[in-house]
Amino acid sequence: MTDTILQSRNLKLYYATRKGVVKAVNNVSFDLQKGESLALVGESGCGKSSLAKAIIRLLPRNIATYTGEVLLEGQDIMKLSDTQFRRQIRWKRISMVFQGAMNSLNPVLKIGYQVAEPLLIHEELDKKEAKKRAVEALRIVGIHESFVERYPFELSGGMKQRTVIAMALVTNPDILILDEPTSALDVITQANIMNLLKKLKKEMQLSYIFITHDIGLSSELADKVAVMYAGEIQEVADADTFYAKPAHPYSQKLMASVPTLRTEKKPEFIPGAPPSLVNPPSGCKFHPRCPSAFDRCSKENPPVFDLGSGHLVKCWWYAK
Amino acid sequence: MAVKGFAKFVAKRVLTIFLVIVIALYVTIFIANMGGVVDEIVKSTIKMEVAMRFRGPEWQRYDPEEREKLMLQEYELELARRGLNQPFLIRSVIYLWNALTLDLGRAEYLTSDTGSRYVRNIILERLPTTVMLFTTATVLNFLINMAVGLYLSRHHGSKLDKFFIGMAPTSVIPGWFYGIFLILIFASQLHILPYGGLVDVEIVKTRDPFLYAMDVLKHMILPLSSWIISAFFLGCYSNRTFFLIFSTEDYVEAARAKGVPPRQIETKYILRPSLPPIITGFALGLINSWSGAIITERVFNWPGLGTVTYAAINLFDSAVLIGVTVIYAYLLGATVLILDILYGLIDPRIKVQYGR
Amino acid sequence: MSEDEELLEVENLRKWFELRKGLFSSPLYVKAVDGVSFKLKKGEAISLVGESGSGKTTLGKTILRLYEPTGGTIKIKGRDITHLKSNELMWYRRETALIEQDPYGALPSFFSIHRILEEPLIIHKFGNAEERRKRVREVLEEVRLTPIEDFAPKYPHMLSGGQLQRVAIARALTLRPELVVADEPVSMLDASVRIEILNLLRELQEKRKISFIYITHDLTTTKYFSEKLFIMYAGKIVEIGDMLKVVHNPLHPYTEALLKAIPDPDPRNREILRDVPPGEPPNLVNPPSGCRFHPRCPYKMDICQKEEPPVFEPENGRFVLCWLHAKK
Repeated sequence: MTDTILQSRNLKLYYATRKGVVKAVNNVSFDLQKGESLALVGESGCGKSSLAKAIIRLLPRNIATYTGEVLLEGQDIMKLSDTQFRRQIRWKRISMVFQGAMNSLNPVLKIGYQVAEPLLIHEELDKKEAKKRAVEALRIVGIHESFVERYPFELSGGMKQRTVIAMALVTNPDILILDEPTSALDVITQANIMNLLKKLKKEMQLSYIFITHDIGLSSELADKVAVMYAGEIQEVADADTFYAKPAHPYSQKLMASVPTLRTEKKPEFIPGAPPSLVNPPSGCKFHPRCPSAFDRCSKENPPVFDLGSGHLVKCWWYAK
Repeated sequence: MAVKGFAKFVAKRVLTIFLVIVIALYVTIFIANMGGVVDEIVKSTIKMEVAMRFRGPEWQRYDPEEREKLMLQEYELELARRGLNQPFLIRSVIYLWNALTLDLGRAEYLTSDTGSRYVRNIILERLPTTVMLFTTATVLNFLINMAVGLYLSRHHGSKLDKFFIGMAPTSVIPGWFYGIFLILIFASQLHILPYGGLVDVEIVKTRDPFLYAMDVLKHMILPLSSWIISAFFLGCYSNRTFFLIFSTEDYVEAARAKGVPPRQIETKYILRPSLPPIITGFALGLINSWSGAIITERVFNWPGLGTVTYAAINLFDSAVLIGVTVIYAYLLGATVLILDILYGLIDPRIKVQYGR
Repeated sequence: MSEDEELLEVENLRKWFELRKGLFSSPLYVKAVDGVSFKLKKGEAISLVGESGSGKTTLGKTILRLYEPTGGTIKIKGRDITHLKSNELMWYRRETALIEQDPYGALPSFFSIHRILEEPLIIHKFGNAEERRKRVREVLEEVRLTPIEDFAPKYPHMLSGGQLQRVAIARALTLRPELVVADEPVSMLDASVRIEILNLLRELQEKRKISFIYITHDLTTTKYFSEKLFIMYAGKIVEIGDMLKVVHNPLHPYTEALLKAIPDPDPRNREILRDVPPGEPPNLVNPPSGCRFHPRCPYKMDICQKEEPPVFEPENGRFVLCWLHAKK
């Protein structure tokens, strides 16, 4: 029995820059079930990091538009004030692991303190209690108690990544957003961290939004896959369907471009380049690079078509 | 265990810095003496002086050979008296030893206010007034510029920010130049602040320590203001840029995400990691301010080390000049040592390395 | 030079970097390359795979004599170039080229594309202006940056990452080198562009019979590039062999771990835990004793900690640095 823990409806996040308005998140809607892991896949510059920031409300100063609904167990958290959001949601119900963990840690503070810090702020525990919880969080991610008094520069890359995960989980959130959590780690350490994330999901009943550009890696933590392109979600499907028979031409091209180790398939490349988010193409954003594009594609942006069983596609080929 | 490592660290630094001071002083002595050339000049001056002494009529009675012999004896006595009978290399080492032990010799022309000719007294008499004025200036500048810089970094891109950037060139003008105008306005036109000097004679006569202190403060206002004005815009701007770099670090954003309140972000996430360069800037600015104040002290008639240095330069009193260099070398060395120890205390990377 | 001759012969190559801690401490060394030996034939392409910190970039640059080796020898066509001075290496610079990871960093932003491509020709005094122009046209066509008039007068910031990397490749080819080292040439490019660039490199390599060393951390891209695979760990090359054989039947435990760690896009992955060794690559200042992989190796034996394994050749053409394959 699954129930929806997070829903986004028509989420928009536009930045104002000197070159124009960047439509980083352009009308995005998706569902996340309790205990589910949603892999958000796309190339660099497609807006996936901006989507994460939009959900957890970590916005820069040059916002042009920030609208839509984000329902956390039915409650629209977009309507909360900044203070309310900071107190009730951010790092209490929804936490985030940032890209480049090495730099998420303050170099002059001990890691035990940094992991305990959210507790001191959000739960107003006393120092002893907070330290106990921090030690426990570090233990869960595989870091020994003796490291509590160490500084980040004394830790290896993998250990820093685990510390950042502990830091995100210490307040027992419901949802964890992971933005490229293993970039800059070597492949074997990456596999170890993914093993850890898989274990934690089961043990702590977490829901993940797992953002990555690496399709192979996305399958490690995907119950559902959402593909993002030019600020829009082009397809959502459950993992079995997506990796076997993706519906959207872009998804198909993405799957075809992955070099694999164990099959004889030769990867194909996608001609052209990802579009600018300031001046995206008219109609369907993918049409200039789409091998199956026809007339309507360049004129109208397709709506979302429901193919049944939660499989959604934004492509004119699936119009009834 | 940590203490032993720390002590080892300090010992190594003391040794290294002492070595540097010794080398710096020796080089100064060598250069001040132009490698021994000055000695030769002094020797020939002495020869002439001695010859002058033997010019009088009472010497005409002696036959020339006797006179020559006596002159030579007198000459050698004089050399011995002045220590010039040894080769320069040995003299320079003796000089170095004296300098290191702060036995700075006698000035040739200057005297201290108390009438002493000892260079050490001349310098130490004036040092405190310089240090007092310029330390206060540096500390005030430091605090003001840092506070404003932090504020600007939080509001970067705003009109105020752009205003500061535009006004930054005003810092090219040194403090004493602003000082001249300040004196014109506040002393000459408005008569509310003194023209210069350390303290008024009337106040000294009252022998009241409180009034004395107050009057000194009154005399410090204009010189301090002149340097604060000069350093203001560029100092605030460079602090703002500095803090901007530190506040755009990824871990600052992560701290914001965690919900760390803005005050704590400023202290723990921006200020603390940036402390080492800040402290360095402060310490070196401090030393710099002590040494370069000659013109300022002239403009404000401030009885400090700058005035002494100026007088010594005018009179070619090399003993005093070397003495001033020695004092500064020690001050610089001591400051660098304190800085190094401070780094060891505030930067965990250094602390930890020596603690294990 | 015939097809089967050795172009490059590297023996026991070492490159150590000195780390000084203070006036009174003895120096430490980062042993980035610590005893590497292999041969490369003319026209042969190999992939050198290793994680960051394995020493692969240092190895590539040392082979090109951008660093002077600390030990061992490098021979080109039989000629020992290990300790030649830079003025004696000009001929070598003509015969070799380097393609680096970051095209924006590798190409000067203040030169036009044409000027960038002309530069190697000018430095090595190749022909006159007309001949140089012709050569620049040739290489631009080879990397398919056409029409040439559209690209030659432009400046680097006007081009995309993929296009710039083509320029970098073109620059590498202007003097028709015999040996090219490409260090992570596609890591900074978008996934969709990577395959295109790798295909281009492969094509050019085959057409011009260039000996090629492709350095990367991404094992999956090597399958389409070369026949031979070199695996590097902690400053040493731990396995050499034919690509397909290594991938389907790895000899070294580290290679096996690498292969197990890499996920193919398969929805079943989320159900399984990958069987990979714990820990991370060692730091190169104080690598582990004996075999460097022994602290993490699931097949560790007593001897592995005590002695460094020599090179074993359990099959013809397959080399491995592991006690498991010692002849009984």
